[in-house]
Amino acid sequence: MRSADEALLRIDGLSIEFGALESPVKAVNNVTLEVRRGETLGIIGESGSGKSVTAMSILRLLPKDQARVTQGRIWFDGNDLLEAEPGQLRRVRGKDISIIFQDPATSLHPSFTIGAQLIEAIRVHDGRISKADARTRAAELITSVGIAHADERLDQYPHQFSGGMRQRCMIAMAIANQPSVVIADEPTTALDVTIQAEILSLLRVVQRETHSAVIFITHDLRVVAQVAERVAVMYAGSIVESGKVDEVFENPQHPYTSALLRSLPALDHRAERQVSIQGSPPNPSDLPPGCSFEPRCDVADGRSVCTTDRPPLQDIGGGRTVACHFSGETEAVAVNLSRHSMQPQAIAAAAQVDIEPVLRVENLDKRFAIGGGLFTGAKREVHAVNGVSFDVYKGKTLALVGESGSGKSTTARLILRLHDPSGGRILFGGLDLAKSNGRQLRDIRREIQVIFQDPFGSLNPRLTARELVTEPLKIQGIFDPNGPDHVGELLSRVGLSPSQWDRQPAAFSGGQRQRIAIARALILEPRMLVLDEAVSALDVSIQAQVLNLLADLQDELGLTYLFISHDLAVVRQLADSVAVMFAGRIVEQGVAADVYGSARHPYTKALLAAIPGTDTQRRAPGDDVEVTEARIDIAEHGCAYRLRCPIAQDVCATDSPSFARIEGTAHDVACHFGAVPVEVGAP
Amino acid sequence: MSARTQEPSSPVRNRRTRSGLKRFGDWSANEKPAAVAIGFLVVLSVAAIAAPIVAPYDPLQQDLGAILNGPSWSHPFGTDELGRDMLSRVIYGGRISLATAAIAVAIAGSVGGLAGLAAGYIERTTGALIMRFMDFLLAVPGILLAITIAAVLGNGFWPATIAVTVISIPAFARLARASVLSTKQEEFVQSTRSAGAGHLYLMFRTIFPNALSPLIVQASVAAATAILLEAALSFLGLGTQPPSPSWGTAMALGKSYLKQSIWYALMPGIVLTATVLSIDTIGRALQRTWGGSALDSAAGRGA
Repeated sequence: MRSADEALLRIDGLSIEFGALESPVKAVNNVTLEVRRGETLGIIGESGSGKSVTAMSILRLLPKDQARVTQGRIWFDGNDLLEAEPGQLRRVRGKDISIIFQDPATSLHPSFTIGAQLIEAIRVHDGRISKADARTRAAELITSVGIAHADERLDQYPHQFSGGMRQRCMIAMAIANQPSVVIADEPTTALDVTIQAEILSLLRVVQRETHSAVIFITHDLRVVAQVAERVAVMYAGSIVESGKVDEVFENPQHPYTSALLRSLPALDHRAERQVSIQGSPPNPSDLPPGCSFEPRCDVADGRSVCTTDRPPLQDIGGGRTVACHFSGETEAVAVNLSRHSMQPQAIAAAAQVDIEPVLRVENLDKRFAIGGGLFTGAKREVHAVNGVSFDVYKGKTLALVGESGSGKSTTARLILRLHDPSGGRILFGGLDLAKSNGRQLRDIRREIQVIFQDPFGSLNPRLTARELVTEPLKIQGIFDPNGPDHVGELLSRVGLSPSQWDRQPAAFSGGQRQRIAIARALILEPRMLVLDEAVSALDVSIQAQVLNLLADLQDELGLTYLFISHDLAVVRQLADSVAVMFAGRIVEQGVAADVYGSARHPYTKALLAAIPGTDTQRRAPGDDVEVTEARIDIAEHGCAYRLRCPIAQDVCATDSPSFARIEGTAHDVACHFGAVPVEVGAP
Repeated sequence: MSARTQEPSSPVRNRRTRSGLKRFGDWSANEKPAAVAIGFLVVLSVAAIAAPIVAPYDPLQQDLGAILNGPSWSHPFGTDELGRDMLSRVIYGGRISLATAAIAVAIAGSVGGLAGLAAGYIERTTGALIMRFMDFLLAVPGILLAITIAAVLGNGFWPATIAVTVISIPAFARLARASVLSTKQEEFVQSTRSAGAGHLYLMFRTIFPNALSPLIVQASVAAATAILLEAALSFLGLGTQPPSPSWGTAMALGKSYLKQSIWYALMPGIVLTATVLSIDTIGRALQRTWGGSALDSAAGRGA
């Protein structure tokens, strides 16, 4: 019937608008895409680029009263899905085309068992199958996505599954009817990096077995490099470049793609400065008449054709297209995706040993009581932070790295005394913060300031930028309205122009809000900043701007940073030393170059190996991946990591490993077998 | 919808840059029914305050030659069983209804709001005690509580107003507590705390202004309820006593004369209904305005 080359799904000139007719927000502009059988197409773009809207429109999942398709067709199986009758559309949804959403916590129905949801998904498209047969099929499905004890698991509810397991269930549901197209909308964004690696390889296995086409939507360049064969780059609602992943990443033709790739933080070395793209993406209700990227482009260079004519998407041969007037001038990039040159630098540690630390944390402990109320069941304790110790030196950055639940954010909150520690000492400026209260605590809070992850929640929405930065001065009673305008100076320093100072947070983009948060933290002239996932919510190009700003401020003001993050690439760019946390403990710490270059703890190695798009994870033609079984995470006795550890032995089950210094370095590791160097990349 | 996450300058957002009057103009263009309702309430309030000037007759002046008349040019709302001008009595009665509503909402709003703020911020024992007391108030049927209070304090304007106020408190307290509990979790509160802010600063400067919008919407609901309750108490003979004019008493007396003149009970009823509907319309419009901005920030966060 259909040849292998023929497109299975083809989007033709699609444009979508939101909002009022007189001032439409153009979310998608003239997008043309196709995906073939057995192929993975990656759609990449920053937030607001229209990638998700495009994907949702395929199954007509956009809210009818808000979104308008102004032109275009979506061809599937000889029909235009945009014209399909409701009945026809229902048959396509879930049967021929299925979707995996971003957040497995909300995309499963919380009050039905996994089994019931799977059986329903099977039976709704196949009325003849009996309940018992459907259940057998459901059990096969969840076994095939790596969930053990299928029969028991089918009778459990979503809340009894971990995030990674739920996403496996979503995948099982998506492939239940052997669809020919699977749309995956940021399917691993909400997951930890090691879980993400499992899910990505699972998707590959599933695709190989079902021979379906996958449309993979993500903002993460590394993920696309790993999973996709072809990629389409979207910017401000349009495709600016497409082609084979390897070719696009090695030789980008559009300045945006090139800049995006260059702004990706490197893993193998610490760059002097991050490459960033100036400015921020255009407002989709007010796109420039010419090329949407022109205001941020360094190739355009003020040439008038870029400001007046929108460049069409041109075929440049070899299956590649690009929308740029001067694509030949785009800077070639050496993509930061590899990490072969990760060399240990054991010597660098010596310098900092005899300096007094700014912050010293000793045996910090935090237990949370859960339950114990009249109706909330038996009292349990969660040991969120378990004997954590580290030093942070003046003008340096220590990064606490770990996956969700590792206790890294709790540690930060203990240091800020937003929680009260259960034990241990926090020595800062000659005081033990763990025991300080009242006046003393208020004074010391001037010295340690915090920047949170969520730029949308961490600023009081009722205050203007200027008021937000002034507020800490007023609280501390040191605001002088007649003195020099420190607030204005600082706002300018973080890159906000005076015309923006009297706006409320809602008028700013994520990156700008994070700049306000930085100014607010710095106005009290603290000695130390706690950065709790401070750049994690930002797009790559904006993230690079904020990282540069943080690095500059550290140099100028001699600030000390405690940087909390799950993103190993970002940590590599900012941190002088790294402490890796697992289950409330630090399992490895040392100078960044040592930890990245010669990781000793199996967990650190697993974290590094799980980063998508790196050499070990790159998709090789014909490679053979197996479904790995979803694991139980944390052991109660002995070494907490032993259930996931590839080198665990009997001693790990009985003895909890203590910290050991690696000879001749400042590199500590808590593993029974850690002091012996092991080849990087070994399983 | 990721398309909506990073658009910095839609017209509603730049609130600070425009004058209050201009903003109100834009708002009422979007919320036409609410603008009409505000107009009606302004006219009503001005008439009630300036009653001696506005009212065509003395509300107590009897004219036994013209009893239970229908609307006419000289008596637009008709007359009652003693020939008193109903328009004047409705205007004077508005003083009582509006005063009850204003006093009840102001006192219940501040008492309930503060109690809820304290209960939400402190949580533990104090919070639990405050909320159990509110539950107790809520458990007693409102009209029964009002009758009890009237029975203890006697009939008249003040006992009725106190009863209406007490009944309105728990709703404010519960709403304030719920709103404070969720606002308290926001990162900007933590951020302000780590700037060194004390408890009072956090409660009144940081949390309360951000937890306020549901309370303002609740105030409109409470005002409407207060007017109805005051009328009901007067209707039952527990509120304002004759010959003082009040919408409730007018309806109570008017019902005895429904056969002779339907206008007697109907006119105060229409004004009462229009007032309650107006307040309700304004409340809904406020809810849309503030609820909308809350939705916006939630959508932004989802990105």
